[in-house]
Amino acid sequence: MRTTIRLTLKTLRFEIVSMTIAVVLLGLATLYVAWQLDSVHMPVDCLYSDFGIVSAPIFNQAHEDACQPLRQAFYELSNSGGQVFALGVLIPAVSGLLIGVPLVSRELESGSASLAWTLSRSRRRWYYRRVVPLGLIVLAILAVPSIATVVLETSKEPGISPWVSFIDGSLRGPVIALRGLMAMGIGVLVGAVIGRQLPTVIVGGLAVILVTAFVPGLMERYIRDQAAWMPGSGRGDYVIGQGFRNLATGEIVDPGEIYNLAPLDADGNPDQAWFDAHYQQQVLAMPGARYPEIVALECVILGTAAAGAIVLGGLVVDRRRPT
Amino acid sequence: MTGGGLSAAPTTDAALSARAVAKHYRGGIRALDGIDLDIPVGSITALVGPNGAGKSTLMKAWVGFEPPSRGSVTVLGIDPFKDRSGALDRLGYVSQRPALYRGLTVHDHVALAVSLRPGFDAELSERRLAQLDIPLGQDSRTLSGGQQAQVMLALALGTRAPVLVLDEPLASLDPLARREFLHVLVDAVRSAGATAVLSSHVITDIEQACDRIVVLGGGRKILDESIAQAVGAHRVVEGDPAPVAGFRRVAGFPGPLGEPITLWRADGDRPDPPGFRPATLEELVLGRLASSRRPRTEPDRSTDEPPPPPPAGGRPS
Repeated sequence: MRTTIRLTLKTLRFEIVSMTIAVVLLGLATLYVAWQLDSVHMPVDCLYSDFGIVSAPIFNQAHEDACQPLRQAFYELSNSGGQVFALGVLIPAVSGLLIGVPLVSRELESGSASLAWTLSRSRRRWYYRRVVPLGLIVLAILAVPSIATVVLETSKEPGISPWVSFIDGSLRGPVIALRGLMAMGIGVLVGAVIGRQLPTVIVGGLAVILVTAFVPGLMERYIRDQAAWMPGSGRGDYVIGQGFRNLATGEIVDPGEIYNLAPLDADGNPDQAWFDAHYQQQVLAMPGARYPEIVALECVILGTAAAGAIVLGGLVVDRRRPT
Repeated sequence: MTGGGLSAAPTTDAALSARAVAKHYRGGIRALDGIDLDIPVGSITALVGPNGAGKSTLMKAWVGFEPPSRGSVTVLGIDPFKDRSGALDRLGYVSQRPALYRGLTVHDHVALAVSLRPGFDAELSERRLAQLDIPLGQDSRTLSGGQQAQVMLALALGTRAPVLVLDEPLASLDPLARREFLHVLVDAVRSAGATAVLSSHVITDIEQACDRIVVLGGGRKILDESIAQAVGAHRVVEGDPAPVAGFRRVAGFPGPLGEPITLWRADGDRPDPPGFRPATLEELVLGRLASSRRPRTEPDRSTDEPPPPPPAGGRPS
């Protein structure tokens, strides 16, 4: 087993070394931006949120004047953090794909599959003894940006744990490593089907883009199904929409309709007193406390996609011709 | 595992067999068309024929790479498409094109074989390679074509499989490397009582190494005989003489300078008529292939049939 792993790594050393360098640089860049954000020492009550200034009880000009330069520095760096997060999606997926592609397709293209498949009694054993260790190595290497992005998120959103916040939810943590593994699985599967490297990179790349776009949509749909109406939302909650609850019936009314329902006061404006007596503002949201559950689900989906692609790749290897 | 040769083959009549094997590809291409063949245990059989004759397809069927469209193949009685591991256990394979891993050394290949194949005889492989002065630490990319073929053969021999299938292993080798390759093969196979079948275009080399010949043409078996028997029974003569008692005309084919030559088969032990001489293996194969290109129902034009009329409106040739 050790020999198989050593030789597999030797045949893929260019891809593995390139991926490791790219991923380590990404991790270092992420940590550097996090360190720069920490260096600003941004007070939490200077932060903006979706609903105004976080934790600022009343407007205070002196406080604002003190916050302004800090905000400018912090949010400029925060934009860099956004770019690093984007690379955190791209680099692991590309790395996973480029490691997965040659695993079978290069063997088919170069003809070495016919040597291996006649030396080994079982093609499946040959396949899994190569793909499983490689998958574990991909996960281990991608742990670097997975951890680094969590550190960056902690610096980017001070005052809130990244584990109870949906902010940048799909751009950090274990999802990054699982996305790379999914890309690797797709690369292996498409490579086993096509049997040539360059077409596999193209077709596999498209497949990875499709899955990468599909999974967040699936997660959003799940979150919508699971979200509940609540009087207000906190920082880190996943807010989907707003509405007004009828205090008598419990019915939720769309903000666009509420003004049609309210009687007009003497000035012709909607009657605020009537409104306050009959309706309460609500948000449709999922609390940030459920982030671990959601991210675990996303990891399971990506992991299942990776495992499914790898198993399908094994079936293809078992049945296909070596050339 | 140590030892000087391959493990002995189990007792069956045929090491490799094909029964009514047909292989059709898309577009109506028939690579094999109802082949029945038995490769006897302990033989070294040459599988010859022109490009597209179906040699590689048949070999890939035995290895379990190319399922026949019809019929069945077996390796020592085991169908590779029903029990792949059982068949591969008994088989060593050298593919048509060099199949070594780029970037791995020769020693890495031996180590890979040890990890993939329980019981792989690394000592045997490495000893063969050492005898050929192929450095174990050399990167496969820097090996010559002959050395790559020798490494492939050493790996196949290291399996100690009772049956070796070699798909055009001589194709990219120079004459000296071909001799060396065949010498190693014959030595290993003979010392172990194993069976080998190799396909080749180079007929002169295989005559020395093989004891049987199977000629394929157009996906069909044209000849299947021991080389000594086949060569002993065939005669050639320049030109195309009238039928001779005790000899059957097989076919006419062009000689090296385009001169017409005909191949004849002696029905018994008769003295050669004037002008007849024993056929070389190459002439035998060429004559047999020429005979396969003409449908059996077509009369022998050289003796019975008048020349065809020129096409209407066309210029007579």
